[in-house]
Amino acid sequence: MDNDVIFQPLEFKHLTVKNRLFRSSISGRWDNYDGSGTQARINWETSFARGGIGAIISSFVPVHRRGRILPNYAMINSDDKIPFWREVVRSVHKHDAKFIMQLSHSGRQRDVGGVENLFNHGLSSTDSKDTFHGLLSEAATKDEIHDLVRYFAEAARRAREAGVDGVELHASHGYLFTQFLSSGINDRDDEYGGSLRNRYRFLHEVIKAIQAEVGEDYHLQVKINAFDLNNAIYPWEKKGNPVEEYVQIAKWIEEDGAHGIHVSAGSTFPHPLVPPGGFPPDELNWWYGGMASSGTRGFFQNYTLFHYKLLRPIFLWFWNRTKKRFPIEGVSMAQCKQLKDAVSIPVLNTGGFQRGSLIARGIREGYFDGVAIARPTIANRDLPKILKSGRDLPERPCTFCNRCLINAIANPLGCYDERRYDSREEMIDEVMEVYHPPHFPGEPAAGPGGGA
Amino acid sequence: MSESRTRTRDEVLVDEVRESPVDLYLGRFRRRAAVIVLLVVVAIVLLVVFA
Repeated sequence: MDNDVIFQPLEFKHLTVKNRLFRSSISGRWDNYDGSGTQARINWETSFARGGIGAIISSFVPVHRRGRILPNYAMINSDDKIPFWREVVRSVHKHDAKFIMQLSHSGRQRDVGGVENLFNHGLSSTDSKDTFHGLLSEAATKDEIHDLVRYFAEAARRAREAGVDGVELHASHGYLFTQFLSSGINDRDDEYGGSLRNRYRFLHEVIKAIQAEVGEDYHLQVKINAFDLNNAIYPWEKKGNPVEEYVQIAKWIEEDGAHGIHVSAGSTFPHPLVPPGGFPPDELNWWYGGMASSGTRGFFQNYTLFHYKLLRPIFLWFWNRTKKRFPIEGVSMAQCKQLKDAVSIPVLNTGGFQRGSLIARGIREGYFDGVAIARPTIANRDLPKILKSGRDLPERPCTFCNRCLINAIANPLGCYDERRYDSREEMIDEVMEVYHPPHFPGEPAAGPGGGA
Repeated sequence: MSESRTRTRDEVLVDEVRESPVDLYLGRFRRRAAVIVLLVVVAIVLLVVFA
């Protein structure tokens, strides 16, 4: 198996990564409720760096408290968070991996807003509810849009001060930027809605504001969809942007001076295609209750469908109906090539990559320049080392069951597929490794946000 | 224990659907409650018909 091409360095304009393997954004609720970081997050990110990954794209890092997806995620919304992130970077750098911070805002897609957001709606391009959970939404005024632009610029400045190697704007998966970009969501009639150029305006303003704040020599990449497929669950919803519109958006992103594009798919998260694979109804029954009160469809629609065995097939029919047209590994790879052909900056692709042969073929044949991998690296933190040894797959590969996805609402993120372990106890022990080394009161904290 | 099947373009994923002790307890409770309700309905019908 010739995996050598995977281990060639990837050169962006202002950043060189030692190989073509990026850990895609993924996280559990490791941190303090107020968004300050903990040792568990440092342990989490470091475990991937130790496994040989070229660069880590952080979890969803909210630039503002109103824009978080779940409590207990470290944020970058104030200067007092900088020392914590500096400590994360220091730990990751020890293993010769780069660290890219994903600057994010949930918009209306705020799964658990937390006590601070109990009496506000998610800020978005639209007043319309999210289609999956019924999460309430409020269209941002122009002043609020200008504030949002400023939050991203300030967050980029904090990331640079923390020594982070670059930033990624999370403009995919239905979060705030997608809510502006997607014709399936954005229903504005001002200069931020309507034509594709108008829908792109918010992202354009954020890119320019970041460049003005931190300079054009700081690595900036943008994660966008290759297609929305906004009607993947419910056929009566609008379809959203097709690949042709995202090809145009990719061209504008390059013209605006970004240094890389990261391609995924889907106008919601989760989406039937992202993350690719199953959607375990038993885990939904156990853990969805934790967010059922966050949206209008939480209890009366989704939780009821997940909770009663007789009703589960109804939901799963809607959820699975588009999957049969797509592969699991490289779910958006074909569409990614169309974006890559249109730009000259490096392009990453995410979506179920695990086999060395597929990744190597994708690089050799010009589908992408590198891949970002999330769940298969949770299953095997040393996936890069395994591929480098010439193997095509790990001995116990990720099964794409997506139990990790559903557990993350309530439990420490990790692999929850018992079939991959000799016992449930072994599986739980591995999940809990993220808390080692621990931090006890009285011990020197990892940073001011290290927390006890 | 039942199975969950997900059909994709290249393969069919098969996973177990498990039940926790709480699921099993609630299942038993609901079945008993349904039987009791059914018996009450039958009793009422019989009373109405034969009274």
